[in-house]
Amino acid sequence: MYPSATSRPHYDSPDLWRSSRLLFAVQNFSFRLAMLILGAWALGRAYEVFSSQVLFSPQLARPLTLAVWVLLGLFLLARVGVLSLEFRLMNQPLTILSWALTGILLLVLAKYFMGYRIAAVGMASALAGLSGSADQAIYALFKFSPTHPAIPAVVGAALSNEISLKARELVPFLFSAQALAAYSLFSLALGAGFFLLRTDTIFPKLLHLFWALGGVLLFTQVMGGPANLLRGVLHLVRGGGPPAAVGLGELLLLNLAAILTGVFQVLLGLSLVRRLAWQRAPYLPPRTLPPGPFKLLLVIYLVVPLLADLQNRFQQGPGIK
Amino acid sequence: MPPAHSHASASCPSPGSARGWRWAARLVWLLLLPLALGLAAPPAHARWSDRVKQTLNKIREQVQAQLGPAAQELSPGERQARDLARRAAQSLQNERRQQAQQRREALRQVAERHRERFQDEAQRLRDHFRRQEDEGYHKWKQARDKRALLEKALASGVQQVQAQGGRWLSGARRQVAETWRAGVSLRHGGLGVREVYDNAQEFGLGAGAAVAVYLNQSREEGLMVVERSRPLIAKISAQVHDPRIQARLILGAIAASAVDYNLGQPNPDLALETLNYCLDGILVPVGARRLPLKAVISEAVLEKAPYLEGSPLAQDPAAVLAYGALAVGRQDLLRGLPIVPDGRGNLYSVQEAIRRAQRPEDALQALLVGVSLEGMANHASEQGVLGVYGQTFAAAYRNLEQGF
Repeated sequence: MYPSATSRPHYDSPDLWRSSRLLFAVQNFSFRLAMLILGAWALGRAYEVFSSQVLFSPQLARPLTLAVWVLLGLFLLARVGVLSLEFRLMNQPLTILSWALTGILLLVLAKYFMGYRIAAVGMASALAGLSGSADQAIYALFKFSPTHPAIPAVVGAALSNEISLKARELVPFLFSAQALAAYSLFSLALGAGFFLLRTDTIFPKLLHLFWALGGVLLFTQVMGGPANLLRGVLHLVRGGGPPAAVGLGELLLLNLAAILTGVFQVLLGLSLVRRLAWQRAPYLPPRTLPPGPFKLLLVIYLVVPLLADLQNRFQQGPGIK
Repeated sequence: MPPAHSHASASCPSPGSARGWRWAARLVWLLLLPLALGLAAPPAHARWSDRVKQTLNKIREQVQAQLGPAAQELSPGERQARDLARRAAQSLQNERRQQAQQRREALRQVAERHRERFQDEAQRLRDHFRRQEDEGYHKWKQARDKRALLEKALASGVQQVQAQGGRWLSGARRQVAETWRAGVSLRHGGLGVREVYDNAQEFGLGAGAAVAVYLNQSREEGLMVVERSRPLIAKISAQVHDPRIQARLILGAIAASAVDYNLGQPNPDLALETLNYCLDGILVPVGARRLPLKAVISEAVLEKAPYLEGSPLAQDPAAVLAYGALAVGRQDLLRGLPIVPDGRGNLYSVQEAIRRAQRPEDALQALLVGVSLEGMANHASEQGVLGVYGQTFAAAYRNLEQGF
């Protein structure tokens, strides 16, 4: 009489569980093994950098890299399989939107991969005290992807190892104070817009709003008053505008802060959409939702850089035979 | 007053007279009588109605008695027919009554069934929805509890990691900084070239022998290295007169001689072999010629340090690199050593190559060449590390061979 109401939900079907058990096993096993290899790689590389020894020869890095990529591919395939089995559950606009946004983020990270490889070289050089190479790596990073999320990490490592940067050479690739002021205004609007997404998370939204407000106040000070701030933003397209009272080092630091703010905004937006999807359907199992902001942060700042480092060693090849 | 009106008042009753009052009393009595009777004697009234009924019955009996013989004188057939008709009517009526009763009963049963079914269905639906609500609530609560647990664990974990990581990081950073400041190479237990040089620079020219000793870990060998580099030192002293620059160059020459001596020792190292093969075997297009990489490096360093001509150092690219790093300046290695070919016969320094690169891939390869150059110069005395940097150098250089 009521077939849709009385039939058991899809995900409770034991047949489904039996048929998807293999997928789950493949997914978990491949992911854990890949992370294990990456963790071993990270520890070994840290030891290499700090002790000037070589643990992973290119001959050893070759099978490791292949294994990691194959395992990650298997993981992705199994994950897609699991999701397609549960597609009837996650067939909601917000869930699909959050998956789509996460996919776009992964595509952007793939686009940034060459930058990650440069950043890995720069980070290793900075930690090993090779000042010239670290300097050149930072220059190359700013030249080829000035918004790369790894830039603050590499610059931070170089500065903490007392490597002096030639900021004057980076000037053509830095965002001007006017552009950063416009970005701070945009961030303020975005921070207000985040409050329109009615989730029960208030702290990160408030943090972002105050951060953006601080940026706007700072740039009001830097540009010499709110009128100058607006004039500078309006002159942004044509160039020129009122001069900003900001030095080279300060401009570099403001660029780094803007990059970090962008990462924070992306993660916050993704997590808000994901949270909204979860609030709409709290009965969904968590695996039908994309990974949360902390996992994505780990992906951006740990997994992809390690993959890039592995790829660097991989592409050195087996040497000259 | 004469009774002028007495006649009139006697002949006709007037309301004001005694006769008038008498008639009014009679009228009142007449009106009140039935009421008084009714109130005073209800049994009499009942008896009266019975008497009326009895009278009516008597009248009917008399009428029947008079009409009876005519009415009762029906023929037996007529009587039978009348009885039959009466019984038929009776049975028909009974049957109809029974049918109506059955219909009502059937309707009642149907209604009862429907009501029962309806109530069952309603109860089932109520149960279903309640169960569904319970399930949803249960799942929601489970998810919430799990999430709360996760968040709590995550919060405590983050706190722990922050606390631990802060302690560990500061400790590790201090340790690493101390390691680097002391210039201790963990692999050989001795000092790296650059660190020894930095330490020795503080003590002036007389520390050259100490540098050599540190590098070779033996006083005799160190003195031998100093003796071997004595002609070169004399040449430098003759050509360069600024005492500070002279000191730097002489120190660099002694250290590079030590590197040369170290690399000349029999020590089978596959990576080192690879580096030597690469330095000898890679042909760099320079103008119309193709020179071996070793020659390119030596030429570039010798152009800046002409006094190296003819010395044994000039034959050893690693030693030349070390000399370039130490004496000419480490930054100059990436800025001033034209080593990266562009595929059109020109050579550029690493820095210039990165400035000119159009694709990030080319910049990455040039960067790897720079890293390996700097690493080779930094660790020129440590054969294993030198070899691995050399391998990096060889691979990156091979990738760059087509130009950028």
